[in-house]
Amino acid sequence: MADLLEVEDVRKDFAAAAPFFGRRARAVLAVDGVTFSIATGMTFGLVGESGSGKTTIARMCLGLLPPTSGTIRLMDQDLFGAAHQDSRSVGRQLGAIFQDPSAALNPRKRVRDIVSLPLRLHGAANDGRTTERVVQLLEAVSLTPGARYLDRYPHELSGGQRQRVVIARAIALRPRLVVADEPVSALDMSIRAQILKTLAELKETYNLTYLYITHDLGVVRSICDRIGVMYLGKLVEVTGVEELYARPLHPYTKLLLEANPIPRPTQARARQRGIIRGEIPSPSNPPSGCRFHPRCPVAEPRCAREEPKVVNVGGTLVACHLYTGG
Amino acid sequence: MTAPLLELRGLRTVFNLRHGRVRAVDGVDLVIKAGTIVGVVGESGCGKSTMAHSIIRLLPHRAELVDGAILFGGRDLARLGPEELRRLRGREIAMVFQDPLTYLNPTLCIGLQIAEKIWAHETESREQVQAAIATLLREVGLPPAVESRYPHELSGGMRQRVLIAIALACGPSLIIADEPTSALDVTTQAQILDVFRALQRSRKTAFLVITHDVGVAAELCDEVCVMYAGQIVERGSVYDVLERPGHPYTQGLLASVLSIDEFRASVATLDGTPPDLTDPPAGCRFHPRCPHATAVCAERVPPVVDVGAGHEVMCWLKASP
Repeated sequence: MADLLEVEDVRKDFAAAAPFFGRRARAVLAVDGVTFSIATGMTFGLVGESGSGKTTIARMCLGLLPPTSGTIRLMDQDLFGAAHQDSRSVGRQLGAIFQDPSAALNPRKRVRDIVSLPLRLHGAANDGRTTERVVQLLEAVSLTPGARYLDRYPHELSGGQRQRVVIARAIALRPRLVVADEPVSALDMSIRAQILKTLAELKETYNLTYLYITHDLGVVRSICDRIGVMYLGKLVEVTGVEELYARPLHPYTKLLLEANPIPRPTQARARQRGIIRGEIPSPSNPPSGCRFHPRCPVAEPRCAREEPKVVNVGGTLVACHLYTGG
Repeated sequence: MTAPLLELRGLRTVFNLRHGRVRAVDGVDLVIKAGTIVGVVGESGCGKSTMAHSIIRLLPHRAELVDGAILFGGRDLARLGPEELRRLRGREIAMVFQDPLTYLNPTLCIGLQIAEKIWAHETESREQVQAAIATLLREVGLPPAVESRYPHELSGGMRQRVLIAIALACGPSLIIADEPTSALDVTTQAQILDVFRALQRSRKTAFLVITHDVGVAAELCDEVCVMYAGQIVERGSVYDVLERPGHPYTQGLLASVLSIDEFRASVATLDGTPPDLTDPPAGCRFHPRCPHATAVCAERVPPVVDVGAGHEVMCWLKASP
């Protein structure tokens, strides 16, 4: 069976702005040659720090931003191909959840209008049962009783409740793929766990497939099946969730895991940890060769010259000269 | 036993808002010993930042310190006048905030911003200040060239290091850090936590670290207090509180933390949301969400019980019958 989402060699440049007082800004290569796919029913986690290009990928997979080159296919349909003229037919297969629910909800609309908007836009609300369906959706995201929330405005809801409204809207059309970009990062720990539980339940009920984008390696461990690690516009490692934590291959993945705090002090203080030197370089002027080489503890001279190819090491795809041989 | 560096006794801070009086900090006792790192962990709205700001009396105008004592260096900071407070802030107790861009002046180079801080408190010569700036930058791991840079030229992690350098400039014995790494990436966060540890060792500076991230507390702190609805519900050594939590809230909070070192098939959740602090629940404030609540929890405020070696839990479950 074909994968639900196939991202193939996708690049995205953000063109340089017009010269400003004679100073020309450089083009930013936000995403550079990224390939991955998500099988139906899987949760794929895309992990990276700020500036790694993960949100740009989310926006491209939602059809909100065309790639500079490469293709993105959802159920064998090119998101940006000729069929794109009928963007609504593809669009209804996609749901979007963003980080900041306050920014994602129109403050002047009631919950009933917010959640029913996709139904109305896609002509799925002509049967006089819209309110009933909105109530069902609200209850599916644990806003119960749903009727109590219909006439509320976003400012009358807590952060967690707002994110639930965003999720209800995202699943309103029964999409195949839900792209969630840092859906719980703005929320408190206890609320975060509640929302993750809801996302897991919805996946079962509605047969969803998730592209889950986050900087938090702790969250992805418990909810993802496969994980891709991004660094400065490149996918450096793609592997199953168990493999990633048991045997990280790329030096960046290892250091990223070591940098993540562990909430148990005895373990946290007993472990060996390396600290990555410096900070992520600017994507407008990325390092030559392997982009991680200036910060890599095991870099060799050729890492600065040659870009490592992606190789398959026992099922893990990794882009690092340690594994390319020669 | 050495005298505590800072001691809070029954601290109460309220916000006077149109719809009522929010009891943001409601009877907090806290002791910080010299040279230790104390963490205050809690979720948004639990009063942890308000408590930290109350210590150096940096409160917004609607907030009011209504009761309690803040004992530091033989004085009660709750009773200091404006001029004494000005001399104290930054010199004896300094602060590091979450978002360094808000606290740095975009139009001044870094060197000048450090110098301003020193000259606000000491009369030192230009040369002495120059030397001090170079030392401070080295201590926080920044190259000397940063001195002539402007905030917008620095990355988030470097700006946070600058803020720490400014906090250190007058050699405070206590630094209050309010979510110092929450805006940073994890790899940068790890670097900043290392800076704090190094300063604790080299300068014997004490830190009060306010954080929502249990992982940060586990990595950095010697002692941890857990705050809920304006009160400290549990405190003790970092090992006791985070590995043998006694309060149902701490237990629920820790169970909801997803960490890289373990897989959780299902996420444990703490149901409900924290209470409205204009009208907090009677008895134990956590009782409406507590899985172990009994009749007494809804009626009477629980006692603070020492369950061993200074590990204190404010809960009826721990009270002997």
